[in-house]
Amino acid sequence: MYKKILVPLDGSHRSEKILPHVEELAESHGSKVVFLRVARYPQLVAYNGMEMGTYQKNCEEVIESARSQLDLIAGEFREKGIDVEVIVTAGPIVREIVDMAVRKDVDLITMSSHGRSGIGRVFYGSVAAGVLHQIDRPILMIRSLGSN
Amino acid sequence: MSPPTGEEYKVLVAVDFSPCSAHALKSAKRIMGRKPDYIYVLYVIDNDFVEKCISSGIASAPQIKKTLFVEARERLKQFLQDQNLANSEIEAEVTKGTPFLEINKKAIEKDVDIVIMGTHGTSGDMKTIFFGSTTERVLRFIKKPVLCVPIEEDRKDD
Repeated sequence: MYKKILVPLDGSHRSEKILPHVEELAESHGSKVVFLRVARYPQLVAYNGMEMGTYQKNCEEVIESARSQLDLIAGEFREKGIDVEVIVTAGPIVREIVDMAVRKDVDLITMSSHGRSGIGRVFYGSVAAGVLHQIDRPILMIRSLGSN
Repeated sequence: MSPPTGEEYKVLVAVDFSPCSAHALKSAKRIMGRKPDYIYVLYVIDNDFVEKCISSGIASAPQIKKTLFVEARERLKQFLQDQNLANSEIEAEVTKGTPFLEINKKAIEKDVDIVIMGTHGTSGDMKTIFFGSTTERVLRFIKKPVLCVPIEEDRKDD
């Protein structure tokens, strides 16, 4: 029924709380899992020739670090015989998630209701809320805040 | 409907009679690849709305409540029939309160495995846009998994 599942992760432990549920779903449905991380580039504070070189390097490092983190998770899934794809992009988070869902033509998106933003936020999981507003396919939200 | 014994797959669908929640109800028949053993359907008459009706003075408080309940029950019955959900398969209820709280309460009371809701409801007003839909409010508090179903053209199903 769910041939392809999109799983956005933001690098936080909280967002990874969704993984056991994804595993169960993927195993019972024979689904392919697409892990997506929308990386955030560091803020560019000053600009001159040298800064740009360093900045570009920092951006690449952010992407690489995100990718290796996802590869670790993907590896565990692959060991269980689950077909996995890993994607790292950068850009407005909600937009990237919604666009990827369409681009990959997924049947389901699974997300933790609360992600990285944690204690500083006034409104819960604004990414989850943002995706909810724009998504055109089912999204499974699982609570990740507090004890389970 | 005989009461659950323990290992059954139980689903709660929160509806507001919108096309989006009609789609959510449709999705409940087969969810996460399985047919639920129990489907609970809940419609919550919003307390705020009741208060507004009462303060408008169109009728007495008991009359208003009675009318709202009767209407809601009728509407719910029709809503279920539109989805070909025979009465014996589901337990449908109309209650009054604060929607997201009542939905949460029902999910716990029936110890469901999953809650299904539409991503959008009926409210297109500013209050919804700024302070979050019922779905978002439910998500803020609920500990159960929630499948949020958007309104959509029929894609390849099952």
